[in-house]
Amino acid sequence: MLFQKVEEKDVTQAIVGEFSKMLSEYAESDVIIVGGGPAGLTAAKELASRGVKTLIIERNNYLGGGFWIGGYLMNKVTVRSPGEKVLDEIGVPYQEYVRGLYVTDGPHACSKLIAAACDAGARILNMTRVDDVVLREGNRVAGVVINWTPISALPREITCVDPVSLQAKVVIDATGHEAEVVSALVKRGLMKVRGYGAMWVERSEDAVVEHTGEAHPGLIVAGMAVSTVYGLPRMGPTFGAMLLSGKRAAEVALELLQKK
Amino acid sequence: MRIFIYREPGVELSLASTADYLAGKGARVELRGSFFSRFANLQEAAGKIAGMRISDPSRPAVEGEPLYGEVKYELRVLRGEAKAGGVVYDGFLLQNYMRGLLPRREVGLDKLHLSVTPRLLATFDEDDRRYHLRAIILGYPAIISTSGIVEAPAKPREFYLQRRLLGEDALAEARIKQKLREKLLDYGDPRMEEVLKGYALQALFYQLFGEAFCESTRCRLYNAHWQEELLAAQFSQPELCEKHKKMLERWRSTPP
Repeated sequence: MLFQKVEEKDVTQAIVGEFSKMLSEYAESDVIIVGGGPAGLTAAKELASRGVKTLIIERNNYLGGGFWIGGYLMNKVTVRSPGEKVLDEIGVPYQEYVRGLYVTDGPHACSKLIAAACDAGARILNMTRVDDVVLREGNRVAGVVINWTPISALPREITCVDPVSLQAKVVIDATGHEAEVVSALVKRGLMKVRGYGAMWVERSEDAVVEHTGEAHPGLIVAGMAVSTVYGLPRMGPTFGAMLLSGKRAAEVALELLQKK
Repeated sequence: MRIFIYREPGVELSLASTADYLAGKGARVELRGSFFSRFANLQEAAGKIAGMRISDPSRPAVEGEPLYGEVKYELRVLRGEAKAGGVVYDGFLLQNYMRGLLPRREVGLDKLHLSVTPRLLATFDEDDRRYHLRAIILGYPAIISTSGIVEAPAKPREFYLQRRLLGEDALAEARIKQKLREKLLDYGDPRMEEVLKGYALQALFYQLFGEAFCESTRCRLYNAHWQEELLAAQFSQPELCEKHKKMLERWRSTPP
């Protein structure tokens, strides 16, 4: 027989035991990143590699968001300079298409970015959705309320499964256009958003990176969630801004952690 | 005439040659740093500017309650810690605010305040009920937008036709721009400061004579709506038409 003999209960205990240990340990994190797309993964890599206790919450079973494919379901992704520096950091080959515009393979880049975040020490809760936020004095965001994705997809009347809460010193909303954490604050009347804009597409990538930051006390927005909050132009299938927005979000998170 | 040129954070040009150019026309020119650092409390200015964003191009902006993050972003831009981009501001709201910040001793018909900003500005046109991007907001103070010089005049017709054919993604656009680089102005273009001098001259003429534009396509004061026209007007010789050349000469020969 090729494999070691183990009993079914051993497999179950390994899964439950290790998951419970991780969940218990990360019931309080330094930073919770909601959304495991390119911006969230880059932020996670940056923070975890600096010893910050970082947890990624992802509603799908897979990480990477839209980073697996470029436009029109074709799996070549483009980044404008200086986004290629992140590709260098994670060891992804690319080619310069025209001056300052680089093309790489989506699957290669995405899998390397996921690996980089994991290697740096970030932990991941996938198949998990954010239902609400944990608030403290001055309505500062101090964590998130979560539930399993399948539970969220079912009508409340037939599920009745209460969520659980996780605390963090800083929360990053990297959930893309839906801006799920921000939406929880909007529902409570604690925040407003501008919605999508349609102007000055030329500079939309710069704008997303430059607007990445604390949008509400304790809450940083990154990636396309930034566009939703500030009404910035939507952009085409180019990912440099997502990677650099993730980096910027990590810088802001480090500044906030130092202040605490 | 004294001209004070303000260089806002994020403007990549030194503006020294613009200052020399205006001095060559007979003005006393002083190159200053940021207008807001000199005359405003930056935290307050950030809140005011954040409220001047245009969210709907078909409705005039009213100074509104800015978002927490918008104020933080504007403060970083004012401090030179972030780049201005992706946002369009109401040019007249900004100009009115800046006028109110100028101390009494700095105001006068013999003083032109000229702010050069990287922010993209637009003004609402009551005729067609929509905003139009602007390279310059004439008046007091005059504001020249370096991003407006790139974005406001239309690019060559081929640019839009080829974009329809090749697609609007970054790859296609980069290729089209490379092909048409002689006919259009892009960010970081080495011709930018020369073009900016023409707008600065418009501001000076407006201050001196209440007339900024010329109908001649060969005069530097031509109000170009296309980038090709703009480049042609700014690089043609002689730089001014006979009428505007004489106006300037008359002013120079008149004792203050």
